[in-house]
Amino acid sequence: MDLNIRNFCIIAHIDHGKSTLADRLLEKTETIPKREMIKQVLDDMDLEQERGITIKLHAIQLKYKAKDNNNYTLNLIDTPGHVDFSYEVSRSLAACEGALLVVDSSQGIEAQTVSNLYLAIDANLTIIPVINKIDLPSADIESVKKQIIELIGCKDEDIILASAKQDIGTDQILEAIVNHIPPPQVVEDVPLRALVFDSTFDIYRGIIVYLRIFDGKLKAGDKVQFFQTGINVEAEEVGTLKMTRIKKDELISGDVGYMITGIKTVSDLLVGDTIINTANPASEPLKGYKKVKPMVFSGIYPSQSEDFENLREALTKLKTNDASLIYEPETSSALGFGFRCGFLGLLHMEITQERLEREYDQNIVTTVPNVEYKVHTTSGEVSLVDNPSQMPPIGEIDYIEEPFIRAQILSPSEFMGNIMKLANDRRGVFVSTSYLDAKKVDLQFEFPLSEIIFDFHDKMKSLTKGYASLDYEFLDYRKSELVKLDILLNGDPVDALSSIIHKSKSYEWGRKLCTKLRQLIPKQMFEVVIQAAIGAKVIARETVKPLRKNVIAKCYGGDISRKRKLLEKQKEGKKRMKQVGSVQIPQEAFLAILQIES
Amino acid sequence: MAGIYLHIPYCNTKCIYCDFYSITNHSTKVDMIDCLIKEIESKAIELKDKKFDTIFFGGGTPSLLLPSDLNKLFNVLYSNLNISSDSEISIEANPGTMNRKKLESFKELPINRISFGVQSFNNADLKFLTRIHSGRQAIDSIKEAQDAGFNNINLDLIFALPGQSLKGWEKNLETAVKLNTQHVSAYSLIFEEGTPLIKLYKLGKVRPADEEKERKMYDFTMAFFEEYGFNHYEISNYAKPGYECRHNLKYWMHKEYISFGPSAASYINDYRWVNVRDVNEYIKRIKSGTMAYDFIEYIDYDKSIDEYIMLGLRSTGIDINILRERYKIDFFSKYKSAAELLIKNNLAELKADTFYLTSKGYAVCDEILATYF
Ligand SMILES: Nc1nc2c(ncn2[C@@H]2O[C@H](COP(=O)(O)OP(=O)(O)O)[C@@H](O)[C@H]2O)c(=O)[nH]1
Ligand code: SF4
Repeated sequence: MDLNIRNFCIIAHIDHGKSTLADRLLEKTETIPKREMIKQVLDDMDLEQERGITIKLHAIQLKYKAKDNNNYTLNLIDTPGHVDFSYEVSRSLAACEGALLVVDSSQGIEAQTVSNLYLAIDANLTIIPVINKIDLPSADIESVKKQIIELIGCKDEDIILASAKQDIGTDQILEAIVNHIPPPQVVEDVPLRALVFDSTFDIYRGIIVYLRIFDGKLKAGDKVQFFQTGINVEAEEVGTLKMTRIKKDELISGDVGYMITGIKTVSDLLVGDTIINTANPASEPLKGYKKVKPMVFSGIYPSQSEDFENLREALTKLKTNDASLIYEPETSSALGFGFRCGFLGLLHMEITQERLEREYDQNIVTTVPNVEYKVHTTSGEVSLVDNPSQMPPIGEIDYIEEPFIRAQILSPSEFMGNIMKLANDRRGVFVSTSYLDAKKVDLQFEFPLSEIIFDFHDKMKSLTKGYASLDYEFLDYRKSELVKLDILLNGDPVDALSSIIHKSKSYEWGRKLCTKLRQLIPKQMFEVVIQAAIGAKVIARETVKPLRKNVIAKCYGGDISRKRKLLEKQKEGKKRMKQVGSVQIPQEAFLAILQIES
Repeated sequence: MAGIYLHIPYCNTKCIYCDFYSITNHSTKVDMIDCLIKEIESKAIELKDKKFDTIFFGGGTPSLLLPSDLNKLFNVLYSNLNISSDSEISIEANPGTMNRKKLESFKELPINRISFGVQSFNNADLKFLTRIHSGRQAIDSIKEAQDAGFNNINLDLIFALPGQSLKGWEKNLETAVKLNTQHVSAYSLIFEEGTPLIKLYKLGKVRPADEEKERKMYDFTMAFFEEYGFNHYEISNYAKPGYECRHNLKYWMHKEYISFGPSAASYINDYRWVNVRDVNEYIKRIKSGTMAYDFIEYIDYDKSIDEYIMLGLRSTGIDINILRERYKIDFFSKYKSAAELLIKNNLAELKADTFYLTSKGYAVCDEILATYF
């Protein structure tokens, strides 16, 4: 029996060096030979590489012979690095006993790092602080040290100074993992309880469950049950994770590994669920399971209605490795048949759209994202509205509530004024400030979620030269003065262009949205009148003048093939537009609201 | 009945807007003519069941050919292909290359139609377009052609030139009708890729006429020719009744045509092919007995229907019976809503089983095609 197990993860802001450090640890422990090193082995979807975000977590096992001459098994569990995925992060953390806190010596601590760190401290993890990139000329080790001490109350000498790039401090980190992080508590003679912290989908094997055994053991061939979903399956194969899956007869308390069951649908499998033994079931699940709730919603439609079934299939496949994506069919009078999708956050939405287009080759139209509103009607009922077009008529609405969040913004103090102004524009309520060190300030606000799902993050970045960082968590629902803003094209309301916004902004937005749409809708055969309306009241109007001339004058000589091809190209371009009534609307127009400068 | 086209790629200078295949080095001319002859002869067997009733010498500047060159070509054409006796036989002529004597000798040949590349009667316009002739020369050439006995004459004009005023264009039209030709082609200036003109545009040195002005000129042109009794039978073409260019109608009515010479396109037995552009390459291939085309495609059902509709709407319309018989398409069910919308808005009409665009529709023909067909 191997008691020399350490389960740990790395908490770091994007670009602070998590992947590079992981590479070093893998090399040092000869998990992979140096020459076979591909850069940043933990990020394997190319999308992730581009964005520098580890979207899906995985785990890998390292064998390390420590200075005390003992052999240790280190399980490194990867965590996603973005605010949208904090629940998934918390489940990965729950599978560990310790965490490396990696901070870029020139950037200092960022907001998400703080919130993930708090999650880790809540989960009782041992924190090993590491300052990375000390080789940089711009390194400000002293002030980063101060920030870390302020946050976790460690001693100066506990902080490891490292350069993942130059392989400085790697040994010290490995020793600290072995010496400071406690081994897992081994509880063997009790019924099985294993935590599901992630899953992936393999086209041949079905869903691969990543798990951490807390109690008991899991043998290949065992009949097991997922506690929350109640689904019974056979553990066809179990094992540990190196660069490839290593098949084992059994996994025991303390182990991190995988299980293959032949389940094909991810919705049967919930991150945070507990696996128990069907024959000898534990009575209680592990703590911490939460049903993840989507926060941001938008419509996804095929550009061409006949592709509806293809889109459904693509979403089904996408869902097999993204359990947090939810969707259901909906219809729009403008866009036809499509899906209303729920996402954890705006980034999750963008990634989903991009994957549909790139990995699944779908040509899609997406509508403006929105949050879920609680609408109290005059008849005393409460309905949840996640699609502006489903908003009851004004006359039937008593009042509307919208979700609020608490936001934490960490920023160099010089940008405080800019942030305050932005927060004010976005209906933010200031809560508090505190200083992490002389230069870095921690600002707390409460915001309507709807105000930050648009372009808040980009705005904040540009107002702070990229230095500020944001993290948020859901607070509660609050009453707000909200109205539904409709857009009419040639007199007909286009449901997919409706939005719900705060009354104080409605006139300005109506005007700006009309102007933007005028720029986005190309001239066509007939005049297009664009109107913004609240209820029956038109508040803004623009027109797109009809096309006056569009014909190639010359068609001599017999090269009609060339001419036909030109026409085919033009038709292709038209196909990418949505025909609503007699008006052709380019896809970008459905997101016009996102391009409005407030 | 099918058409015959011969491409003569030589010009005295290259006009800035021109994207036809034409060159100013004439050293290959003798070889080129031999090759044209060879190419015609090589197709004789393949075309033995086809009948032809139009011949068109285009370019380039075919009027640079000597009457004796043309005579040789006619001999080869008539002895190798079935050409009907009442054929329309056209030649393009640059006013800068013509004189009375040449016109008289052309008249001795089977040629019965001349198409003059006039473009404008205004010398400033001509200079901008880098034409080699003056407005006066154009007028004289046309009169000389009429004196020589030609009674089927076209002149080409271009509008929407940078800086051209509506007045200036109107004057061109008035000069044109006074000349009493049977046919006028009036097309708007196109900034074609690869021409010096588009280079100037990209450098910001010339600006195309704006859409509104171009439309006004076009509207004026259409109304003008209607008043003078011309039939507007294609986007840019106007003819006195009975003088529609039969050869160009072959292209526009999706009929067959065989073409010879560099860059020439043919459409026979559902195949379309286009010869290589470069004259040296053309000569090399013909001499070595290899195929001269560098593009060939089979016009299948889908392509054919697209072309039929595209060409039809640009010219005399879509014949509903042809759609039904040749393409098995019921116009009224397939294009019902589009047709209704277009007719309601005065962009198209349906008469005697033909669906065609009105002058208002012509102005936005490409948009109509791309949107509704
Ligand atoms: N100078 C320097 N650059 C580093 C160091 N560690 C990582 N980097 C660079 O920082 C960038 C982000 O590193 P990466 O490991 O991808 O960060 P991640 O997003 O946290 O996984 C990359 O360009 C790395 O080469 C270091 O110790 N020193
Ligand atoms: S004369 Fe005609 S073919 Fe020759 S360059 Fe000018 S426009 Fe082109």
